[in-house]
Amino acid sequence: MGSTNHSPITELTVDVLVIGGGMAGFFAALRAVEKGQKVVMVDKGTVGRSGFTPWANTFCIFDESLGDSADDWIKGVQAKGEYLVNVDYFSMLIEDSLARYNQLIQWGIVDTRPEWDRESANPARKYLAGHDRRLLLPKVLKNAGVTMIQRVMITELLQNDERVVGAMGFHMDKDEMIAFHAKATVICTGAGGYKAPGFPIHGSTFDGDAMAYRVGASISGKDFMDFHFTGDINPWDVFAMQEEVFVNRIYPTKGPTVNGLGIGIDPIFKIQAEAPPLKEFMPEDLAPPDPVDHRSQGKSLMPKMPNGNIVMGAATGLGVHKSEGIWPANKECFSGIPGLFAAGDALASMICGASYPTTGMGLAGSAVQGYRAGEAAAGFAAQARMEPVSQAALDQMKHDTMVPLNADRGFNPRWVNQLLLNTMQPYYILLIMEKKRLESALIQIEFIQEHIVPRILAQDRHELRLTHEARNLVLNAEMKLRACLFRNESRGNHYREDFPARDDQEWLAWVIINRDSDGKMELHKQAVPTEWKGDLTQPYESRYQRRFHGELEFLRTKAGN
Amino acid sequence: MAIELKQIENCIGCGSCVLSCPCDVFRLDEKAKKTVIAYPEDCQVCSMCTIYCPTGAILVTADKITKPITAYM
Repeated sequence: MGSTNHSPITELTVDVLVIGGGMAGFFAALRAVEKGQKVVMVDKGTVGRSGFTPWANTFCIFDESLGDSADDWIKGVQAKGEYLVNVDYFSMLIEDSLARYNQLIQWGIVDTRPEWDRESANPARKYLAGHDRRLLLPKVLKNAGVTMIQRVMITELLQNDERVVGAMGFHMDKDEMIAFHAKATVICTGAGGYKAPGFPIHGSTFDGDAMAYRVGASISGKDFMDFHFTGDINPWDVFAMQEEVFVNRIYPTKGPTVNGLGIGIDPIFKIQAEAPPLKEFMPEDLAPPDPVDHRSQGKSLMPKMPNGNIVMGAATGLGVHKSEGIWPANKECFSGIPGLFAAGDALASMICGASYPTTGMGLAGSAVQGYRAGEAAAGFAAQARMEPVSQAALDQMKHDTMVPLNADRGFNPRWVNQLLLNTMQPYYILLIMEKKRLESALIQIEFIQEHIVPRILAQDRHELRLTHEARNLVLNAEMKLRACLFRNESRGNHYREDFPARDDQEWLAWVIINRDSDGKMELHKQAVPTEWKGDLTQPYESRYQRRFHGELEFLRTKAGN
Repeated sequence: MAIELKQIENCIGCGSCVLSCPCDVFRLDEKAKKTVIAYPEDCQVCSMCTIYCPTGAILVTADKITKPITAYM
């Protein structure tokens, strides 16, 4: 096969490169263009239709005119995020969410027309014609002067010494590689998961986290698990049972107030321990809303599952929105590696901390951070010189990217994904965690990483994408398992049955992951600033209102010793 | 099967499904001006293709049966 893949390298020069065409990338690109920079956006799929953004249907807005109080929001999110919230980044949401939301209305991406008459015979297509947000998104970018390059998967970041100077990837449809030489690069590649049935996350594979880790960036938030839901009538698809218009609209939501618990993993305790799940396992915003708040438009945002029960745990391996990703070195979405910025689910901004507090924070967080990251990247690019990358380095990178396509024999990338699913998905690995089980999964992942990943065979460019995605998924599996083993406590969406309670003395801290000088994964704690720790004099049971299974007995035994 | 061409005769070869699929399941047969479900095993049953198909040529169903996987090829 080798001789058929010459893969000439096309080289492009740009001020700001934005990787990923979801909500974070959208605002990053627009803001950088507004600041006078030449911007290219690259997406492995189609801008507006890849990643999570096409599915997001809530946007959380802070609106003082509706009586929102910043103090209430911060106290609420700190309690729900169990005191691991980065208040600087959360404040960014308070400051900017309304402005970003209003921009989306202005462009028609948020559709403010009257609700579609669900009883009418008009097909949804007709109602949406000209108002489709997924199609409007690239249109707005194009009008603003952003160049979009689609169906190109970025596999590595380019480096000159310590600095990131662009990125390189391959074309899905042509025998071609593209090297982007950029003064500043913004990673907006979203999150990832191990594609259990029930959540459309197949294209989200932690690509940004993996690429940033490989160039030395710090990663965090891998110790908290998301817990999405689906329905038992078709557990493959959480959205198919909903009306088309529903998944095509973005609904405004209000923020995390002081009451309520956010989305936790409580229902899984029922499976494990036959304990009844907490009534409040859904955030209050998913329940029929307060009719006086116009943001909810009188609609319940709970998916309709007329024929079946809700199945929890539809997206195992996915992190808490905005908690896992590249660890920011400052308040401006900077990764700590010169030239590299991140926003959205690829940035560990910790606006949710240990648990997702309410709906709409995912999309709103991406919009707000994208805008700020675009501004920071544009500021950096305006001052920076273009740094070259040697031809030898580009050739080496091309060779490494193309190895799976040029192999004669090897492992099937789909089989590797199946291994990952079987290792990472069971509820007793990442939801109900325990030291020995985590270690056994880690042994599997290490073997896959060492022996299988370097020997995957890609029979075509579609499989080449699967191969690089699998490589990133495996690296992230290692990060997740190590981070979960490291955090010897339970907190938010991190439940260790061998440590079933919070340990405020040791673990009001984030887990930071780095690649050390020998290429080994290194983990350390970073303490939460004292002013963000909440009221430490509050009694445990009122400070933490979510009860973990076995928690109180554990604390009693510990106190007795 | 999770995904099939319900009415191939309706397909106008516009490529909407190629651009809509988050999992890169489709390829366009340029000569025949028809879409091809090239990688049905990678379909995530999200129905994005059916939302953007202008002629209703594609059918996505709840059941997903995939080919057995060969580990080493």
